[in-house]
Amino acid sequence: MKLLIVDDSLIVRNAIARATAQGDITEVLRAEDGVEAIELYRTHRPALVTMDLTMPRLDGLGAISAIRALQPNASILVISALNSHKMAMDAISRGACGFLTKPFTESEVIDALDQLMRHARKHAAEEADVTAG
Amino acid sequence: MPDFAAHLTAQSILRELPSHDQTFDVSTKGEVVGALFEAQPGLPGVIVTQRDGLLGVISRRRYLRLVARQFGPEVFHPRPLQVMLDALKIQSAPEIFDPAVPIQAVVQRSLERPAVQLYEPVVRRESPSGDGSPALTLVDFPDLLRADARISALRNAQMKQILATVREGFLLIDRQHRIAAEYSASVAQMLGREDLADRALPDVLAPMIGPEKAELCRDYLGILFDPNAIENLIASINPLREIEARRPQDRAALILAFRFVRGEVDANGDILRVLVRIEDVTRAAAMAAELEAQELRARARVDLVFELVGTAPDDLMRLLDRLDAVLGAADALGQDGEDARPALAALFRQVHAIKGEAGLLGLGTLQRRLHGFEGTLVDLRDGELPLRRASDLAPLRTARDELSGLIDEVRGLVEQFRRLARVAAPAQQPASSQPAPVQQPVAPQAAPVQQPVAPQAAPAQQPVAPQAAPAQEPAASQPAPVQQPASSQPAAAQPAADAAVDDPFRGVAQALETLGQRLGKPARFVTRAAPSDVPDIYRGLVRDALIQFARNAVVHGFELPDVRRGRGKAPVGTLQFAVRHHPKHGSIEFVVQDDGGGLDEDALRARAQDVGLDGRALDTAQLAQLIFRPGVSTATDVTLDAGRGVGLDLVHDAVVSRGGRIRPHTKRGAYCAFQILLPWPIPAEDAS
Repeated sequence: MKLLIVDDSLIVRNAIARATAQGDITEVLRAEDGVEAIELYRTHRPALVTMDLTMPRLDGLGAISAIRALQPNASILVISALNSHKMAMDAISRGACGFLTKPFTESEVIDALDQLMRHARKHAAEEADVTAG
Repeated sequence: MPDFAAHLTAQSILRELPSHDQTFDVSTKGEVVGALFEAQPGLPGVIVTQRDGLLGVISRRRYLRLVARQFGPEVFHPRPLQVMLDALKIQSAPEIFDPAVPIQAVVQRSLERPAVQLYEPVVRRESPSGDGSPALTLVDFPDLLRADARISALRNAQMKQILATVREGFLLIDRQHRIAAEYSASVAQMLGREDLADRALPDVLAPMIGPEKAELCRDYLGILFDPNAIENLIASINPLREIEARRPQDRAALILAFRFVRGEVDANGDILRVLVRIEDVTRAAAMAAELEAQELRARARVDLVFELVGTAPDDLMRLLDRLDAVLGAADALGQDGEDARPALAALFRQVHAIKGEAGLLGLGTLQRRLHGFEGTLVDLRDGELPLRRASDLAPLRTARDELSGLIDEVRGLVEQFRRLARVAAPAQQPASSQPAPVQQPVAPQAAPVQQPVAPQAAPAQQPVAPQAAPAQEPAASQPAPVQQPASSQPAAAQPAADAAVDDPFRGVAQALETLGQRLGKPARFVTRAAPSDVPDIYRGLVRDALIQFARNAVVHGFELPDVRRGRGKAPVGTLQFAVRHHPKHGSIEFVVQDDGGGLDEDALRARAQDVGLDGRALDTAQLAQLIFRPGVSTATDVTLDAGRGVGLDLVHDAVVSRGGRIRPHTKRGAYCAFQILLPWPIPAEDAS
């Protein structure tokens, strides 16, 4: 499974990537802002996306909307500081599947990505059923 | 209802129901069964077997339907039961239930049977007993339904009891966020109303938590019902995880914790209901806050212990004595009906000086508490309210009690150290002698910096290099001895008795280094005099002055290391001390000099107006004298270490009260020196 990590902090991107070193993630893509994220998503169609909210050029909310427009079943996990409940819920309403608050531990990232992966597989199976039907 | 139902429990099993044991071989003639049904009106049916294997059940209802047909009795009575089974088109044996199966499970299974079999009795397997009792029996379906109703009633009662007694609030909400009819009694209690059924949860909460948070609650419930959101991964953004609320009936402050669990889901994966658990965590939150406060207190106590261990016992006891005087002075305020402001101002200066000393001794805990106390004094002093009665000074009492609590704690710890010292060193400690309160960290007579003590300098020789003026002062312009020191003990506001101080330098170097380290300005103390060069009667004064000058040098004088390097100075600032004896002129001279940036004349000029002077009209010497005026400080902010504009004025007052004078000398970017001239001390025997 491909994972796209979107965060403007190199440290955070590396921390998330480290947490995915083992498991089913086969390829990790990295974007520094929403614009780059959309571009990478369009090209690589990763199964999983982790998304920061506050970023230059295009923030996470905009990027979530754009990615969900490209793929309505995209599995997106927001990883961000919980500065505002309103913004966090806005992210979920726009199609993110969950929210992990910063700062996070490695095991929290692993656990959250595991749940996101199951969610993505379930959606993929449902899609396959619909196609087959 | 039959008696059996009265003994049922919520967990009752099939064995507890009455059963009927009429079993016939399939070859038995129909008339036998007919006669039995007639003789036993309560018999629900008979079991038909073949070589002990179950073939089927002929219920009373089915039998009556068969014999009610035209020529029914003539057809079925003389023939074997097989004929009836065939007529009923029973091709397979019914399910045999284990007697240990819960009654409600049996009912559930029975209700899943085809409609034509729905009311048929069920077959129960009996435990083999070896006494010839039947292997199978029948349980009447109405009995099952009655038992089911009874069990449901029992369970409902239990559920109601749970809902009535459980401390947590439990309720269910639907997709429109409406509260279901059944909820625990605690919900009504916590949310302050009984009419919750069918009301939207956010609407119920709005008066308690405010419209804005109620709106957040609505948004959160919205995403809870969104199947795309992963339940575990949205819990962290639950805005009601712990929320302050006001109970509607009495506006009592509560802290409520809401947890949400997705419940009923339909075949499409849509979430139909969410279980809400509400807990009143007011007490728990208060306890958590108290625990945190306790932890902070414990940590502060550990800090305090370390601070005390690192402080010379004599310094500490001296400081505590001065603090006792402060507490006494605070208690006296507002007792005489006079305006307390002047006394308050004096107390403030006293506290400020002690605070500085505490900071320099590394007693940060005490310094912080004194800073708070000082702040209360400032607020009262600068406030507009009259300060004549004790009640006007209520904030001071609180601050005083807090300070007193800390002093008691320090004394308690010192006492514990004493006991420990006694236990640790019984052999060295003569029984009659008073042990030191804190183990001595430094040798009592050691100079703070192991600086070779210079031989007694000649009066004309300048121990501290930069300026020549101070050295000439006693001989030229001050030939007459300054007034003799007052014979009485210093007042409470003055530094402690000189007799209590053996070494006027003790703690100065450490204090200087500690404060320098804290402010990022490394500093050291260098003395060109030995403790014995300072006459006994001036040791306390010199030590207080050195402490104050040290603080002044670090806070105001020394530049940051980079700046010092830029000015061609060593990165470590130096505070030097020298003594010059002028017995012929009846005076003694102490010089304290730092190699910092000198007095900031611009800042002093700006501050001159604080004491009602025109700064523009003052020259350097006059400006320098300003630093001895109360309330003048060049620091821009009030901090733990400086900024209130007191400190040097206390030193000045102490010198003047001994008949002496103090003169500052400064050069911008180079140094700041204080020349203290005091009367030559008269030996004790002469004085008497």
